[in-house]
Amino acid sequence: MTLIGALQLGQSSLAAQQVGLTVTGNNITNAGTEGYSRQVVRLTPSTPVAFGQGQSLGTGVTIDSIERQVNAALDESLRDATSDQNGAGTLDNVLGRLETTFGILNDNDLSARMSDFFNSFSTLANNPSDTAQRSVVIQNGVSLTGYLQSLRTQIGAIREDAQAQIQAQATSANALVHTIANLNQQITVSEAGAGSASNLRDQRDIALGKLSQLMDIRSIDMGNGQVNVLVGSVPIVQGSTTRGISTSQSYDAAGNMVTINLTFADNGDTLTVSSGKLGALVNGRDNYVTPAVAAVDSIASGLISTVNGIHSQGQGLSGFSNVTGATQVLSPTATLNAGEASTGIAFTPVNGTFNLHIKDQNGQITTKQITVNLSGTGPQSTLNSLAADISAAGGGIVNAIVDSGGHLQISSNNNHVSFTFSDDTSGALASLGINTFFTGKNASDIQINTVLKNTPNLLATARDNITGSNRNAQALALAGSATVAHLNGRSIKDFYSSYIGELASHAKNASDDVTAHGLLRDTLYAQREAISGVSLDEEAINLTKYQQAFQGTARYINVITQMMETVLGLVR
Amino acid sequence: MNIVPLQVARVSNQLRSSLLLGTLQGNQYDLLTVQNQISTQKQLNRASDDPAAALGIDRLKRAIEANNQFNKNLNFASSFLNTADTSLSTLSDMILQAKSIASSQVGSSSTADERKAQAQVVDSLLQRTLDLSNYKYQGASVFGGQNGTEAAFVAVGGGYKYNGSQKGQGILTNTGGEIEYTLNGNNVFGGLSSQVVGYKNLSPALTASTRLADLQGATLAGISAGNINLTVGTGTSTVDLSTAATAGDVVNLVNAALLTAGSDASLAIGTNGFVLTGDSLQTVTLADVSAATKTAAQLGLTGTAAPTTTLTGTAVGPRITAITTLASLNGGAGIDPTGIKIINGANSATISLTGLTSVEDLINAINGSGTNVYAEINATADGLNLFNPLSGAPLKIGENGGNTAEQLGIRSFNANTNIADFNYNAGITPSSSQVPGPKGTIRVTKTDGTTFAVTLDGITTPSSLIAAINGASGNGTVTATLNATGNGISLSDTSAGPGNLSVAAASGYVSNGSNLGLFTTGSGPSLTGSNITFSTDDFRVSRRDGSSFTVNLTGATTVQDVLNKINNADGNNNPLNKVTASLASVGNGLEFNDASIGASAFQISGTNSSLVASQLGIQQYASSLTPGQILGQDVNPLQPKGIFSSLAMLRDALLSNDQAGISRAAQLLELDGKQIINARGQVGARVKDLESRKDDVANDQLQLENARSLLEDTDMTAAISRFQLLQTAYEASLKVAQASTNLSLMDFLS
Repeated sequence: MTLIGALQLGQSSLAAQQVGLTVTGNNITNAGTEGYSRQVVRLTPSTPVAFGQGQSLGTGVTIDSIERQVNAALDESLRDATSDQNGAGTLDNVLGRLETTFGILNDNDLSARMSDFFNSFSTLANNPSDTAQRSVVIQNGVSLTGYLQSLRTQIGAIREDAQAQIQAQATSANALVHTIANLNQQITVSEAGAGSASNLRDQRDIALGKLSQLMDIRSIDMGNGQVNVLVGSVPIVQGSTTRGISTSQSYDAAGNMVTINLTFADNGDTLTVSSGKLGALVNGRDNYVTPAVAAVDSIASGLISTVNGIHSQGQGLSGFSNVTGATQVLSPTATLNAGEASTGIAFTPVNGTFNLHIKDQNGQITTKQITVNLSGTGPQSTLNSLAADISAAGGGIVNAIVDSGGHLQISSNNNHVSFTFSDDTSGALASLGINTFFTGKNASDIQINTVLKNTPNLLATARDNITGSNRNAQALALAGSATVAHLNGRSIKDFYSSYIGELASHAKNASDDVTAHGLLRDTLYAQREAISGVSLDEEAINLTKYQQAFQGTARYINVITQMMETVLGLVR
Repeated sequence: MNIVPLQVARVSNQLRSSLLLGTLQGNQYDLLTVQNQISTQKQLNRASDDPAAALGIDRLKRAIEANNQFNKNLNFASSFLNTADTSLSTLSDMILQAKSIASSQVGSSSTADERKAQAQVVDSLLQRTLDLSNYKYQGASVFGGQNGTEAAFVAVGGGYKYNGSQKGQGILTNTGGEIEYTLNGNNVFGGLSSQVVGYKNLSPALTASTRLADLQGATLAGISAGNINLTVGTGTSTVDLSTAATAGDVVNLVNAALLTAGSDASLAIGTNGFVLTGDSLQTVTLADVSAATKTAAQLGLTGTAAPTTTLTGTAVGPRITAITTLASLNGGAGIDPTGIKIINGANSATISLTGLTSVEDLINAINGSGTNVYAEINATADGLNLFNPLSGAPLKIGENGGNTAEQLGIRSFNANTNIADFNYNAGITPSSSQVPGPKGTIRVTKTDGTTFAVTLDGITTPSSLIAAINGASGNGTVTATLNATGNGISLSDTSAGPGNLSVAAASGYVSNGSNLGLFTTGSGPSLTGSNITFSTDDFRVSRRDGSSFTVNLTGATTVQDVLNKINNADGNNNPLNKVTASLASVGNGLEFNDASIGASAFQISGTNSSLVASQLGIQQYASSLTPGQILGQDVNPLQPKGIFSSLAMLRDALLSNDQAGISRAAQLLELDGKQIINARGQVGARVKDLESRKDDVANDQLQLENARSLLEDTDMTAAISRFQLLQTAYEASLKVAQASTNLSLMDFLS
């Protein structure tokens, strides 16, 4: 070993300690950087030289590597957990908004408003001739229909909001998959041959982490510095290329509800995402928000069919002198039960009869039974034939026509002659909007029949044509608890109760999931931090270690320098 | 707050700070939750905090709301009844006043002028009664039933007409039941007491357009149309009848199924039910799908029709509705269109059924006849009821020469009418109720000198005396018969003794005014009695041929009994001179037709000073125009009883100075007073019932509120303790954070 050699040995140490200090410094400065993985300098003794027989001498230190402290499998698990945690959080958010919209525990939620509405019929039944109470009933009806409409609008807004988020998050996800593909390429280039592009890898890990917040992904290290990314089992990033993420729109059968779907940008195939924010938004929209709209619609249509069905059997304080059905019938020549598509009748009538009572100027009532033949045998009833049958029964005093808008119009030709209806086993009157309380077919268009709004005396409180009778008002008061066929035999109130019960349970599950997934993510995060996280105390020790090694090396060089001077002194 | 399980070899600064942040956020969230619970006093901030509890709260809320509404309804009903009670109390006082006027005006102490003056007072009482009867609570008529805001009683045609409904009004309970709270003016004021309750089941025939909803069903449980099984030969198919609305639909559906099954059998509508004409070759069976479904049984369509036979289904009992045709009544035989006669006080009308089609047409014709009488279908929908809503007017409903009223079951004077109801419920007073018949025994001495005794107790007619003689113990040879003219008894003896047959009074014999026409001695074995009369005879019918017979109505209770007694009377069994009694063919009353010929007058006259003939309206001569016919009067007019009638009667009696009328009115007022007391009792009972229900609701409400509070309200003690605990934990977290974040090895290196 020569002195020069000894100096070189010192120089290698100085360089190594400086690298050590720089890496430590980098660690310290990134102690607060989210996603940063600490780096560790691996020093190794330089290749020794032969010295004498069978002996060798060290030649100093060299830097073996600067390693990122990561556990790829743990990172993958963490990403999964992050995906689930974000998904749970987003779903919790969606369900929380739904729950708030329904205002379940409030004193003025749908349940309370329905009770108010039906109870006002009970109060009216106490004194059916009380016109003020009639107005109260109608006002409660207006409030209920308004609330149902606004409920549907608010849930619609939650849905639209979810759709807007799906759109925005899909754009973010698309940017992230492109970033990952780009980074794959950069890493391959900078690690070409040898070396480690730690910072690029960190950036890619961060991008993967962000993507995992949006969707459930799986990354596969290809060993060449690149990772492939899969959604479910479908690859979305392969090396430096990506299929990209886009969205498309579809419409429901009625053509009035838009749905935004996730697709692959390259060929428009459906992209199925089951977790992460996007997964949760799609799940929340399809399994909770859209069904909530359907539930509100079911309640509204149940309300319309039940209340109208009862109302159309009764009579008000006065009879009709003319009445126009609220329902627009698309084809007056179509059989009445041909279905909504061809008739425009939302609540299909069945085979049956109803009575038309004509009250003359002396107060005498003539009853006519009108047959709504939907039995499948003989000529079947159409709107035109029904109008003709009513006119025939009306004996020239009461006439029915189908107006140009497709509405059944019944009128008496004499101011003193009025008419009422009863005993409708066909449901035709209710479905055609004659003598009904509500109009419309679901929560989007439920309204109080304007005929009643204008003339509260036509509110049908009576049965048997006894003007002061309260029998129909009583039946209406109980309508909320009556079973409804299309609510699976449940009553409107029970249907609502069980719906909100389910909603609350789902919301509770979502909220429990947030906690559970958060806990898992936190645990995994702690484990990742234990490996990749920067500890300032540790770095301080490293700092001291490298400083002292540096100082030692400097003293060693000083000694060699003095030795050199001593040797050079001999020359003088 | 949840604890993150830590299993780490080294602790990074990032981990420490993120855990610290997590802890602090957790503390703050928990604190906020409890703070919210304390400030809102609600345990649940949202339903998902505890879905089960939230559902429980929702259910309890609904029950509480239902109870609140029930309570409102109860309050309405009890206030309503209190108003009714107030008017009843006033009414009670007024009746007392009217009664005291009546009692003070009977007797000689008052003059006609004084009575006239008092009539004015009664008239004002009548006016006040009318006002009271129209009392309203919150605009609703107190005594009008379902009448609403209309006046319950109006003054019309000299009487007072009940405008209210027969059906009462009820409030809804919290469980969907009903409590009736209105008082029927009929019950209180007696406005409608003269009701002709239809006594005939009008049994309408089944028609194709008869709605299934209007059938009582073969099992009297209505019809719930569903599936039935049809077996033709060995093949069974199911026929879905759920779409059937009318009897015609059932026929069509079953016939379509028979055709599909390849059978030439067919279903048709019979008189009372369905009729299956069997297949020419195979057996056809109709049955229910299972024991649980009852459609076939309800339609009466169960059984098997062997080839070429007919299966007649059980009657399905159509109900009468407004549109039931008159032609379909009487099992399809229809109703005689001749018509009915209605006389109501001063108003009368003849209603012919010609041109009328439906039951409603008939009801409209009656209601619009101007007689103030109105008709309705009865509650069981199998007959008609007629009401006279006009207080103070007698109502008579009779025939118009045909059989219409009888077929409709609305004749006010019919075979089943109880004769105790005659003459405004005064009834009739048969002689037998006034005087006794002959008592004791008589002795018959035969030709051979032996005697036997006949006991007379209970004997009121010749034929019963004949039976007693012929059956007497110790007789054996003497035969009693009615003589040819039917007004006396003849005896003949076969004992073949030498003496003369004779009859004499024996021990304890009392005639009581009867003359048996027998106390004489005959010639040899025969004895011819003279005219026989009983003290219990009520009237004598004298024919045109000069003969006559007596009738006593002992034991008769209905008009039919009276007719039978007359038509079967002793001495009225010879077809050549039979007097036939029947119900009048026009109007009401009894009608007599004499088959005999002669110049004597056909007449009916009272005997033994019995009032029965006049009480039955038959004490008269035949008119010269119809010498063989006597038309009796209708002595069963139906008059509404009640306060209006009684007060009007009192007023009119006072005006006409009719003391008997005043007494009668006083008696009726006594009854009316009892009626009011009754009504007040009912009101009291109902109010008590309502009050006890209110108590029940209040108790129930307390339980429900308590249950709701347990689920919904914050347990403040627990919440505040927890708040303090969380506060301490938060403080500790902050202290730990402050201490640990400040520590770094860097600080100790120089």
